[in-house]
Amino acid sequence: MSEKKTMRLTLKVWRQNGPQDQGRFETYELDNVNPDWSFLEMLDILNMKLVREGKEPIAFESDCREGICGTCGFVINGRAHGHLHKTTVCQLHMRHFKDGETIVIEPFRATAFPVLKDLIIDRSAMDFILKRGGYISVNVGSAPDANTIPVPKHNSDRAFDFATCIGCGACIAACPNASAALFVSAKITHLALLPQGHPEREKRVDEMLTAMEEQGFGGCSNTYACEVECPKGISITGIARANLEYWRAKLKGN
Amino acid sequence: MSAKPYLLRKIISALTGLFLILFLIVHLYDNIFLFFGEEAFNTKAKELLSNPFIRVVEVLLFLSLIFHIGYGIYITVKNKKARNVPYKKIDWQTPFYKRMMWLSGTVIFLFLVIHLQSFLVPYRITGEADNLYQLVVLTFKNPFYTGFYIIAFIFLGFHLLHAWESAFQTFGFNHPVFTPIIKIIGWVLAIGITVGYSVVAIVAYLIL
Repeated sequence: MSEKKTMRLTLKVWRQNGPQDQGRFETYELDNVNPDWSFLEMLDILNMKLVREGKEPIAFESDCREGICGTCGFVINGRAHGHLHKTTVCQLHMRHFKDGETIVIEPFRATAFPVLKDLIIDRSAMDFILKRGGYISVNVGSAPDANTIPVPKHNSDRAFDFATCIGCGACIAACPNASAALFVSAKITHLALLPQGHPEREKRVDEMLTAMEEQGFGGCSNTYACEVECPKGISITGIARANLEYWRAKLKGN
Repeated sequence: MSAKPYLLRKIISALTGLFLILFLIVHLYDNIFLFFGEEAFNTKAKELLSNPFIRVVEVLLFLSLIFHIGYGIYITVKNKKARNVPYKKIDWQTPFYKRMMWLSGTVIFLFLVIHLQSFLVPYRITGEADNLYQLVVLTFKNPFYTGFYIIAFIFLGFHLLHAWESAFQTFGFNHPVFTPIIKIIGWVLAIGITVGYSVVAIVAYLIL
């Protein structure tokens, strides 16, 4: 195996002891960074170094580390999940950075996302929105026969595109207004496209958009910054669709 | 704090905004009468004043302006509050004019105050000026006035560029075929309004 060229990085990381702490950037130097490491592996190595030096390791979240759980996520050089398109932080590799580069790492920032510690934020606000409308009514008991409810292929494909939201919060982080419109509309559109979602169709859109407001997220001003950063590539056409769902519900008198 | 979906605020911006765009087009059409000479322009102005339909629409126009500005401020403040700690380093992936509607809006508002002060007040309210053509041409002879006028319309162009497309998205209309056409219309509209008004101002400054 050929010898891989390693990298040297300067990392400016946001450190904050708790929700009440002011927080500040701290600079770390890291040598011998393997370009094949993922960004989180790089932070793991940095943390091992910090622990060896008797310092507090950097707190960050991760779970699956294969880009599907939505647990990881912070802002790298001013971009949610880093500059690579349709990628979560865990799937971002160090080969996409330059040797000698200074990397600035900050948590996702929104009033609705209080920083718990360092890069970890509290994303409960998203769960509260989902609770208000991200469900459907089904008969309990044994599973229904396949094809009892016909779903056109086109609709199921489109619904799936919006169902791929992993709830990471990058859209909110990337939005100039910290709006959760892309996240909320993904769920509204996903369920509006399927017959299973229709019993709560009107109630859902009103409830979820109201919940988004109550949680302190901003409104969508159609800058489409969210779409660029979404690791799953969810389209802002979903926001238009959710808007249409809202006007439809209003016109129906709900 | 109101917990009504933001769309209820946004649609007011969109609807009043579209009405204001319609007004901009009609106003530009009226401005062109400046090229047809003093008599044609003054007759047109008198004609508009004596048209009862125009007087009713005028009230609607002022209401639209007040709502558009009021909700604009409200939406901006509310959206800024949604991020209480700003990013120390941020690399926005969205054009500056889409993020700066408050700034272009503020410039347009300042322009509007000056504009009404120089034309509407002397011609319609105090009655100091009877010959609107003379008043307009004289006002535009001031290079600072014409300069600011053009700058304001550049800001308005950027404002419209986002506004037009955004309004359709707010209504829930985003279509694979029609949305690209809407975007093109947006560009034509933004450039047309900015260039159209600026040309009238420059002609008034240089030639008339």
